[in-house]
Amino acid sequence: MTSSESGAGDWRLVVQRLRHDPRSVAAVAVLLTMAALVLIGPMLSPYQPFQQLDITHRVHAPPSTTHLLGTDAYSRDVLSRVLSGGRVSLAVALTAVFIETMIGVVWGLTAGLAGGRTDSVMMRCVDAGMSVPRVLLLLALLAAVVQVPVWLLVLVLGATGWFGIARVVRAEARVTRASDYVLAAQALGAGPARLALRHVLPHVLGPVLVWSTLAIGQVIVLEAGLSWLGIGVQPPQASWGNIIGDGTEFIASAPWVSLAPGFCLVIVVLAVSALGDGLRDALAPRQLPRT
Amino acid sequence: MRALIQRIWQGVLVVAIVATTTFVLVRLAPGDPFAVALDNSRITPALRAQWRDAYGLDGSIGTQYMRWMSALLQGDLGWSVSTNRPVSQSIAQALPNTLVLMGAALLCSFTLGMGLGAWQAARHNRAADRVIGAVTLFSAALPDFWLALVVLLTGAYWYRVFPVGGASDPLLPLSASTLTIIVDRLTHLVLPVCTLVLLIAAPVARQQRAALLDRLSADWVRTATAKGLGPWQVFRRHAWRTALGPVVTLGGLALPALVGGAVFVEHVFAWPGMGQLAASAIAARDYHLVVGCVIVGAVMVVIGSTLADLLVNRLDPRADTADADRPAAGA
Repeated sequence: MTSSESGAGDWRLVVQRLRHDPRSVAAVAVLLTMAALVLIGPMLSPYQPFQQLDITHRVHAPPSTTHLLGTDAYSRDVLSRVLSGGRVSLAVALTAVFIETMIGVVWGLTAGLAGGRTDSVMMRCVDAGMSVPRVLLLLALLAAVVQVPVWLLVLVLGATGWFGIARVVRAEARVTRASDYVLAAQALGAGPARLALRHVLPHVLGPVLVWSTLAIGQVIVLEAGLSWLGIGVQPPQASWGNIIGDGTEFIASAPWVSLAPGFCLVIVVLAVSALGDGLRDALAPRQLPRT
Repeated sequence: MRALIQRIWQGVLVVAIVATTTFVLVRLAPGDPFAVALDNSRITPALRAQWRDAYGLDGSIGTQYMRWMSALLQGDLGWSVSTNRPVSQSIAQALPNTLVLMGAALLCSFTLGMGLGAWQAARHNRAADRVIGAVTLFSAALPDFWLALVVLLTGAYWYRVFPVGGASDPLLPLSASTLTIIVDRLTHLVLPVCTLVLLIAAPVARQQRAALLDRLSADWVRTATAKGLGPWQVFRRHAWRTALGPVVTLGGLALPALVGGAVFVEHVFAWPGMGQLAASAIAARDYHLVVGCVIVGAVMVVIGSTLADLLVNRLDPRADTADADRPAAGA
């Protein structure tokens, strides 16, 4: 575990362990299937997701052979909307998690390597961030914007989710900083940036990967929640959250509108958290924080 | 004792950072309580300035902040424009409802979660363990608002057993007996509490199981068995007691998510609590009320996690009180 070469060997081992874990294999299979469905599905489906097919006769048609998941209050085909909404939901979640991971890693590395007063100020900020319910923060930020553009949603989701990962990375960085090889590298004249990237970062990649995987599930649910409240992805653009929102009002008479995208959400979140658990077990299991 | 004072001081600091950040963010966002009035050409700029002055919205962000902060230190959260009364009054009305909901949900889910986790650990790797493990993995993945909808659909529409929403029946006669009122309150609690329990009990069970399995293989547990204690005694006195630590820590750490989840659950069940209040305050651009709600949320979280830390120290003699940052029991 002293250089990046042995690090590469570790990763091969991790992949090998994952392939022998039925739970992880199933999770990856589910995620790949879902990705394929939302990428290819909209091209194959006979209806457009925004198309109001027959506003007088085909409103709230129950699931049938012509509309596998029924139609909604505007006579739009629910399956088409779920497929195209899935693209948006998954893309938003992946980008937002990428952003929060980046911020968290940089913040944690900086705090952990700087130490002293800088470290303690930076970590108090993280404490503060972790003690505000993220939903309240997001509501406060997004409710002020009349029509939330998707890029802003992604940015705000990313900017409010990095506190946990910063804490994990900082803890790892503190431990690594005290080790002999970091001292050696320092003695050889390595600057702080080189120390961070070459010597500390490889060690935190494992926990970061686990954390980001689990974060994808959280962000998918959060985005859905915000869109459901009407301050996330804006109609007519579909996302799983706002399709559920479209159906909420008619939950008793046309439950399929809300249930179908909900099941997709559950399946994806389930697969992501199973994969995260599998990854955690495949990496050194006892060293990682349990969240 | 010194650790406690330090912990409280840290908590105050965290709340101050939260208050400041929210104050700035909400004010940087476009739109203000008079945005609607701005569209009305019959209202003169002079009148608008007078309003802003009356509600403390004139001057730069800096002066507004100083004024607001000094009022806050005296316990004054400001005036809520949308509900037309002091912020503290609106919060005082909503907070008890949220506390009742959260208290009931926490109590039920920790009892259930810890029971399930302990049962799983006792039957490690047997059928019961695996089945419960799968169920908890599943229920932890459920999106809060969607689960609330499904529970509502099942419990109030398909089977018309429980009321659709609200905290009490508005048609209940004033002459109703105390018993009727209590029963009415309880039936209104059932569905939202069930939703929250389904969400919270799962991580509790998983944490309890993992901690117990970890403790059951510890040296001192083997020593206790070697001393001749029965399996139940070993389990209860030596393993379970120390395994409570991580569970309690999780409770403290999960509070922000719980408060957040309560926003959606309150929304679905029209529960008149803090979540509903915050959502409506944001929609109305009611600065003082929004900031008030967020501060109350942060205070609840800080108090909760401090209590959790203190409790951990009491439960597990090995947890080092001096290490204020993170209790050792969570490792």
